[in-house]
Amino acid sequence: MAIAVTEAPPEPPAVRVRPKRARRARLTPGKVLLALTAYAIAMIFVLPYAEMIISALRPPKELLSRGYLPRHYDWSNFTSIWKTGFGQNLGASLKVAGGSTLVVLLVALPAAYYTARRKFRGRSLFLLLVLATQMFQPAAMLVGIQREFISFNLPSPIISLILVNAGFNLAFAVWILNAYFSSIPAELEEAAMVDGTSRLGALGRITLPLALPGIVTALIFTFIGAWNELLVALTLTLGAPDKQRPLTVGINNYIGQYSIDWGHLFAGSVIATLPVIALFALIEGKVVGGLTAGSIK
Amino acid sequence: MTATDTGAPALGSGPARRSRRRRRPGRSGRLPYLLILPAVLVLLVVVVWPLFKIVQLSLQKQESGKFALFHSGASSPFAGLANFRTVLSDSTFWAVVGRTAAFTAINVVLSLLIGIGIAVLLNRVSKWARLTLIAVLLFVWAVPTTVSTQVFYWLFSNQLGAVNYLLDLIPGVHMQGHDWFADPHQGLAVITAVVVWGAVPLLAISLHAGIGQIPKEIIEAARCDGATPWQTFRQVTLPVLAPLLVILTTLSVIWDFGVFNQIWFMRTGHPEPGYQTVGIYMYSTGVGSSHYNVGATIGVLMMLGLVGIMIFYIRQLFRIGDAE
Repeated sequence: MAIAVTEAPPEPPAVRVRPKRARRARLTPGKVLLALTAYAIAMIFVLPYAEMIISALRPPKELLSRGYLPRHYDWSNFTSIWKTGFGQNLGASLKVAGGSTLVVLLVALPAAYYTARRKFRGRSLFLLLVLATQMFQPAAMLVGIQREFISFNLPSPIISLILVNAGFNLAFAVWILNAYFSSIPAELEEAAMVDGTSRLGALGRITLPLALPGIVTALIFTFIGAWNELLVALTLTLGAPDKQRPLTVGINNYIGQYSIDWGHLFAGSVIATLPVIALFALIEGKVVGGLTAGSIK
Repeated sequence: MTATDTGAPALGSGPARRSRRRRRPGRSGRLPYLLILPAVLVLLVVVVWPLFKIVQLSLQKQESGKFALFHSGASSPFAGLANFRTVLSDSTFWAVVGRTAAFTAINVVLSLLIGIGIAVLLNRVSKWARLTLIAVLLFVWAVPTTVSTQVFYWLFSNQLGAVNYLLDLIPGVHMQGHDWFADPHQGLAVITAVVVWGAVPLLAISLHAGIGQIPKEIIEAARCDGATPWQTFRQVTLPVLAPLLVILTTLSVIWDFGVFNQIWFMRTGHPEPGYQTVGIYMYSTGVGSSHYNVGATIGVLMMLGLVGIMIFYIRQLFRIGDAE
């Protein structure tokens, strides 16, 4: 950001890789080099995924060929994968991630709103409990979680997974929403109420829209967290029918100990990435702000 | 979003209005507890109860490994600290602990260094380069670890992998058919690459935003006083970023300490002993071979270790922050 502001005497071009001083409009070799570095890094990050998509479209007999692009493209991996039970795994993943996102928002919103607006006895205790759970991770408590849900005997591991994923993502949601609600002055709501809106109307029309970046951030974090979760899913779907397993577990079907079905694995990976990317594309702009709000004051 | 927009206020509707009169003095009766009750319930069920359970299990003797899945565990006799003695006197456990510590340290340091590097770069390049790189970082961040791990597994595979192919093109290097996973150290290096790869986007983007919030006057003042870019970074940028860095380091340690997915996938669901970090070891002992009392003991130790590290580390960082 310093580029736009500094008023430094123009330096002779060349010499430095990193410009000591930022200049206003001149294109110096240093600046060009920095931009090129940025583009190169971006390329490095993108290439493996391009390779994944290309490999998913590569006909099986061309898998060994060295050309970067296959001679012809073959969509059969994307059509035949649905016959392997992939659709059911995808459905299970959507249910788990969607369900836990919904639970987190329903549970975290009122708690975060109220702890941000009012002081009451037990408020700091509650926030401390939430913070403490952020430190814990399912890995350490896995055996406890497994035995707990065995004793609950729920009809489907999907319900257990919704609960567990909601629980372990709740802390982050409560904290970030709490930070957002605290940053919105209560006077705004009161002003709306003076103008004749009900408290709920003020909440719905003023506070929630203002807190939207925070809500979106919490939503994305929970969804991605639940979508990627493997360890608990692996444990809680032990002995469950294949169709109740989320993608992270189900995709192992394409990996044998001695041979790997690369075509289906990559087609599955591409499809597994799509919902998350779609979610991102929808709400992209709000995320960066949401991530950092309140982190530095 | 409709569900949440309508759902959340509905929860607070009735009581909120009734308690309006009493709200002024700052006491609102039962309403706050009603509103936080669902959150507390979820945390009790998902976090507190299993925590209690692993502590309980770690103090009990295992009756039978065979039916562990269906064994209620209610009648297990109290065993004192026998499980802890078993685990702590096991040399495998200590090897796993050492490996996890080294793995975590390397991952956290690498991802923070690269993250800071990219964040600084982002703050210095022109708008288009910045937006492109941020878009790519967001994309990489959104891709599930499962997927990126598989891509890396493919890139490093001995017969078909692009890495061996490209390295082999360098004169004097013979990497054709090299198996990266035969030696656990090389294998863990590849896994480190995936972990760092997945961790960098979040770190870079939040640090970039953090640097952006530093008042430009301070940076300029430092520059006017003749500070080199490195001095400005060291004396101005880093101290301001310290609180954010504490949070990010803390989270990175927690995440990298518990890395499971990447190792699990890279070893196709059967991690060899040389690949076992604490998370994998706990899973294969406690769940895989149904020694759930020992698994619970390892879980308790994991938890203690993590809390210990975190307390130590946070205090250290605050001390550094105070000194500057």
